[in-house]
Amino acid sequence: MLLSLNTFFSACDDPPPEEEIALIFTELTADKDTLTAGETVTFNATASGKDIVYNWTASAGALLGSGAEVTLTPSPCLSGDILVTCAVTDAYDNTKSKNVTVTIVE
Amino acid sequence: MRKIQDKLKTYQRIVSELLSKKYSLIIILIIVLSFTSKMDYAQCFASPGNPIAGSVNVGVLQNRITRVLVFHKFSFSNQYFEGSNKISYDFPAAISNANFNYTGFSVGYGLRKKITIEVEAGYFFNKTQNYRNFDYLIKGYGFSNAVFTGKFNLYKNVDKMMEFTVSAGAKVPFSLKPQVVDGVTLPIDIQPSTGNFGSIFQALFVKEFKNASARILLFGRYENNFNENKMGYRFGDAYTTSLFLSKHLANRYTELTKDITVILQIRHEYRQRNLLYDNPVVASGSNSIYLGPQINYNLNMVWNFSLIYDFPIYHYYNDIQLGNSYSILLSITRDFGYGI
Repeated sequence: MLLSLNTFFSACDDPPPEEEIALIFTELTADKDTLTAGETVTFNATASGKDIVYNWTASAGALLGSGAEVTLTPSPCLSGDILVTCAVTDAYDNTKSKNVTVTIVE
Repeated sequence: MRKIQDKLKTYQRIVSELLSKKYSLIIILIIVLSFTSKMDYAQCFASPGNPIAGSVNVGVLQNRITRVLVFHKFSFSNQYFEGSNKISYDFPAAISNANFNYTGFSVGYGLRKKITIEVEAGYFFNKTQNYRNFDYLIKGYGFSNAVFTGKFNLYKNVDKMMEFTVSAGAKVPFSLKPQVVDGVTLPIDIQPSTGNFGSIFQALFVKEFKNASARILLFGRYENNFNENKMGYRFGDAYTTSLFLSKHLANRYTELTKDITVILQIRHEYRQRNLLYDNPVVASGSNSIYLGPQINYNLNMVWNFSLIYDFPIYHYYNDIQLGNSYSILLSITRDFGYGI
């Protein structure tokens, strides 16, 4: 009897289970798709979800910034295609990623 | 006048000895080790891997002697080069300057009379790029690579005061995972560890001249990388040849200078092009000549303090690259096992 009462009150104290907010990675855009050596290009990630963390990698060059917007500053030596990847991870450890390729012409 | 004539004779003898056949063979071997590749290419700003610490720890140690070396190196780069020409590079992506602070250590042990084993490693407190047109800098930090080396003294003649030592070592990166800061993977130039396994071969020829209190040291180093790292990068092979001319100031000037040695290092560095997913990186690889004045202070025969200022007198970079402007290195060495 006591046990069942205890269970009843404990259940009343617990907050209702939170509904998981879905992770949606809408788009990854670059402000230009072709650039000349020495130019920069800015990338924007649009995503929604709980406590999103953005992780960026570029196949070459340096990425400046953090969060939803970063700028690629290719070194003068670079030419050809550069693949930029953005991975978003939410509070539930769900991850989604998108790629954009920009081309540096000499 | 007599003194000057004596000195001239001493120097003439030094030169003629160095040019004699038997020494020439060793010198040629060191040079061959350093130049066995095609003389072509260079690389983007930061020298990858562990910075090298001067001339103190290059030879073999006496049996059962332990040598601990700690050094700190600051390196600064702020000039773009196209080939061997300095250029003003003012595009949006330009770096205004790059620098690093690196503290390294090595521990060597004289395993046998002719064999020394050594381990070296180090930590980058920062590897920084400051951007000219952005109020922004990016910074990497962390452990670089560990190097395990065995040194073997091939030839030593106490009477003639000369020796020839070779060594071989394995390079192991501290991390295979690229460093990520604020959710952004850092570019290869400022990753603290190369992520490449590799090997290092070195050769050292030393000749001392007792009467002149002088020493000539010729040092060759070849460093290669075996694998592509997680970023698809493989650094090009590096060849270094250094000539050290040292003069001990014993019995000269004042009591203060008796434990001081002055050294001039002339160093040639040649780096092959890096590979990115097996394709050569166009603007990578370099041919550089550096001058490194150095002052050493020896205390009680077991402590050695050394200060080096290193600057380029010639650069050749493929395409456009940020070149090294200068570096300063301070090292402290302590020998254990002499019973002092």
